Amino acid sequence: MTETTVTPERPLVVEETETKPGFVGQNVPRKEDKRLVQGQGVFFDDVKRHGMGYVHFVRSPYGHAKIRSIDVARALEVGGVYGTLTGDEVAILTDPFFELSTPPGAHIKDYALAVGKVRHVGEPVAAVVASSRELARDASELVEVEYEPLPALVDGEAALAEGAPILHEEAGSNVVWSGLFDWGDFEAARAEADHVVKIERLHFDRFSSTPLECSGCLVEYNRGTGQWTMYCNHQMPGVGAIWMAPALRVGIDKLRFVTQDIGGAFGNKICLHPQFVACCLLARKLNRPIQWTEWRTDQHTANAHGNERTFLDVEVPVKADGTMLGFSVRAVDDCGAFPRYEPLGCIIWAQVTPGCYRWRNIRVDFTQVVTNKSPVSPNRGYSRMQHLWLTERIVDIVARELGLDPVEVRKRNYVRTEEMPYETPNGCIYDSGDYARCLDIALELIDYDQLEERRRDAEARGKLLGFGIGSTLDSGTNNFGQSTLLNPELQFSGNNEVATVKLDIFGEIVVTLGTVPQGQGHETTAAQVVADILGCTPDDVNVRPGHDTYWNSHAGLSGTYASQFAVTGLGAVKGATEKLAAEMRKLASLVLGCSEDDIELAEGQARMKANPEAALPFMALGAILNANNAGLPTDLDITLNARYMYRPPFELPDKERKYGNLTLTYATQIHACLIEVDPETGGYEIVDYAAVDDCGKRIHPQIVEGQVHGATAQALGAATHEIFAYDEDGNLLTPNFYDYHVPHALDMPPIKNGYIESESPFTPLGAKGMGEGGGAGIHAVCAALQDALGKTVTRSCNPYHRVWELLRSEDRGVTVQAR
Amino acid sequence: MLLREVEYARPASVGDAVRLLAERDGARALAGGQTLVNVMKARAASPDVVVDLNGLEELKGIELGPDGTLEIGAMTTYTEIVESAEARARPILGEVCAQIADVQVRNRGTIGGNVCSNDPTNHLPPLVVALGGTMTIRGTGGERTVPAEEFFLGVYMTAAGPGELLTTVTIPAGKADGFASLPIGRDGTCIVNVAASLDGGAPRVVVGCVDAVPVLVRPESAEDDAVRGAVRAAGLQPPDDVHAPAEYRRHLAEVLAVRAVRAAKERAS
Repeated sequence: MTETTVTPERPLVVEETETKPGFVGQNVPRKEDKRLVQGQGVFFDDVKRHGMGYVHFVRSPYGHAKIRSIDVARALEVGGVYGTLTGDEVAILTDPFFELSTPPGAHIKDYALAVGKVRHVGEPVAAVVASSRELARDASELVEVEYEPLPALVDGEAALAEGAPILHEEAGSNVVWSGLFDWGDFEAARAEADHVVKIERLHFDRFSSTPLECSGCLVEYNRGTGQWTMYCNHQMPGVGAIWMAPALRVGIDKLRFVTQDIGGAFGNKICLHPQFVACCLLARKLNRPIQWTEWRTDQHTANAHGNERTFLDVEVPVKADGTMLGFSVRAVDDCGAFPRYEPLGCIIWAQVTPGCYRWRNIRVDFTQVVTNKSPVSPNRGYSRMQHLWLTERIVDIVARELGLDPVEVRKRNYVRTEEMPYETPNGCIYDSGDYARCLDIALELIDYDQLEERRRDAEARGKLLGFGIGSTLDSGTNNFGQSTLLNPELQFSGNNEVATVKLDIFGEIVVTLGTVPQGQGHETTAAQVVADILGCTPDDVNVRPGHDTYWNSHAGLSGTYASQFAVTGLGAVKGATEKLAAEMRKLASLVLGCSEDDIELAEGQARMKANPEAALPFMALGAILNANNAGLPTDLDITLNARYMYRPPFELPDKERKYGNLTLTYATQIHACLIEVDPETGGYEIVDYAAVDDCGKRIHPQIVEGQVHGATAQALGAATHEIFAYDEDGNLLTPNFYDYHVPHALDMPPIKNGYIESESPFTPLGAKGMGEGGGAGIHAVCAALQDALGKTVTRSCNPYHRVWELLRSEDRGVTVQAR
Repeated sequence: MLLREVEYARPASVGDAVRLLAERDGARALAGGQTLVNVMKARAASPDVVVDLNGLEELKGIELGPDGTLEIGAMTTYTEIVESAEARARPILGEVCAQIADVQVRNRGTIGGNVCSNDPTNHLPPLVVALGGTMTIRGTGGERTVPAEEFFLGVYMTAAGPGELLTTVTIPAGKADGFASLPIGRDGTCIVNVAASLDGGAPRVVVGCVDAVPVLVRPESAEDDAVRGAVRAAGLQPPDDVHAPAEYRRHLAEVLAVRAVRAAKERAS
């Protein structure tokens, strides 16, 4: 992969808080890499326990069916089978999981195993535990389940139709949640416009990330204390416990989550609570540790898809000069068989309501429905990616209809750097950025000035060249108060993260995080921050890998999700380290007989500024307090073990107006690409690709680039081949890697990386969350296809056959009304 | 087990292998395992006994005869074909084998496995038909040969029946060959593939991925229109699936046939 890094001539936002050079901002060696490249990482599947039983889930072969009976007798007769669990038992032993929605979604009953009915292929209906994984699988084939098939529902719009099969009778409707968002004055904008562009239908296809490591856990039950320990890869244990504890009818302290290394998560490992509850029940019932490792096909069919969304009747009022005044749309979101984390996706998009644009009048009529497909969960780019695809499609479709240049029309409509911080029509605050500048860098990287020449060159080879841009925002650090815009009764708001930093007896600096890293390099970046504050090197800082509830270094919203570690995680690390530093200075001042202000921390010592010879190495400080403390003043209240909770500065949103600041930071991604289409086959190749990111202060630029590469691969897969397609009976047609083509190294174009750093004025380090990206690659490829083919692109995923169909199709579905 | 319970046999000779295959109805020959093991893992097939051919040196290797004929042992891997000096006598063989899946698969997968599994999306069934190959099949009753175009009977079904084993694929001399395909991504499954050869008179154009067996089309000439017309006249009824509607596959068959023939013409000149 070739890379070009463009450094801007000057930082666009200069707000230096630190003047001395430090480790923050440097590509220090990653602490995690040694164990990972040597095969010494510890993943949940590496954890073994004496006498453990392996669980295999018996899963539904039907998209929609009544369960008439389940008979486990023959499975139980097999030697080495320890026991089973069925939905009937689950319904007695647990309560349904807490639903976030107002009615009708609030009435949905979701259990660890199917109770009475199955609603998607792959839904677990029973579990078999045996002495080996293979035996459990063999025995599960002996479980007899009698089904009465029902008509399946595999289309979001069809779910709303009169007479559609109802998935959840107790809800009485397939609607989970619906609501109108209306900001500014759309009618006035329409009246003011010179043109109104109308788009009938756009569809964001269903896909998901496919982590190399599937989901799973090893669960131990302690009969004496009634406590479960889960060695697992759950990426959001705080919220996992909020779901699990009430269902299991226990206090939250009875659930201990332990993670170390995780082989990718992408949001797919947020909604593991149903399987984990089944494992907890089995550990208690069978009195032995229970191990569950998900099969690849199960990960595809029944773990977590991304939200599928249809946009109907889009209207865009446009002025003669290309200024767009906003848009209105009716959105139907298909969340699969159970809402789980939903309906939060019905509001998360609103973090980026106008995309990168200065649009002030926006009306979104949003409805979320259930269908007989895999449940969704917050997949990388969660809900914003779908919405930003809409905003980018709007820009390029309007540009095409009105003959506007896609670069100029963006620059005309982008929020401007001098308007930052910028308040969107729904009260979100874009903290900093310079979208036009990022676009210029992207264009330079792909030699945009030679576009017409390259078009001719491609044409001479029988190819159609296409150019496309994807402009997105990765909104990070949620204000959980946005949940109250969906359900005013919910008691969530703000956000938090915890870290503890201590100085131990021999001078060891030990950092404990509340986050659950999955490859983002938290150990490394935390050590960089600590080292700069304490005056030591990252090598001197021991960061515990993973997460453990017993460390007591987490809070209710802890986890690794939603692009926030650089803000919340490192904010907590910074706060805890500053507390520790103050205690270290205080202790040193007592020992050295001076004031705290006379002490500085540098080179692994606490020393007097005026006389650096008068110094205590960290080891001395750690030893004095922890092991050699006679004679210290009795009122000295320090522990050298500082715990800090970072809380971002959020207010409660206004529920009436659905208005308020929903996220703290907005990282920018401006991607541009060139593709070449073979008009005879519809096959195409991305021949040039630039990714320009602005995530404020970069703690570790190489880690940032790695995240950009990953997000780009995710997006290019989604744009070209990755679709979770279903047949009319609810069978997943792409249930494994034979049929679901994820981009391989050979499929990836060379990525030219560029960046600027617009520091966030709102965060402890000037950094912004950036790991998810905003699906910019999808939007860029769709735009490039539209440019190459001269046809309106209305689907997010365009495999070769769709491209060929587009080439032959009459352009339909877009009209322009002049006013 | 990961697989259903299965017996495993590793015969010491082709004779033993054939005997084992004949003795047991549910016996399946295991070559590189790149299809069979995956099918067993998915529990879509459950043989009683797998007869592992990997120890049989007599099934491996490539021999180039004085007349340019290639004798390729059924257990020769794709990588061996790609790297073989002898196989360069018919360059298309190495070129196509280099396109099959990824390095790991190419190191394990064999020519015999590829043609005997006859997955309609495989690369080699259309190729051996286009090249006018001959398949040597050993059974307990002795050896027989079958022209490649009569070898393929259905999805996962070939003339090498129960109790029989493909031992050698014979490819005659020639060089005016072409191959064109549209895979899903760089190394994914083919949506349609076409092999063509102009050696030995009228063009032999063979379309894969459109039927249970490779479809041989004989255009009157190697001109684009003749090729396209012949493929159209073949009345292909390709499957309609998640990767491609039938109509698209029909169209690709024509486009790729023309391209395969053009490549063959280029090589001929």
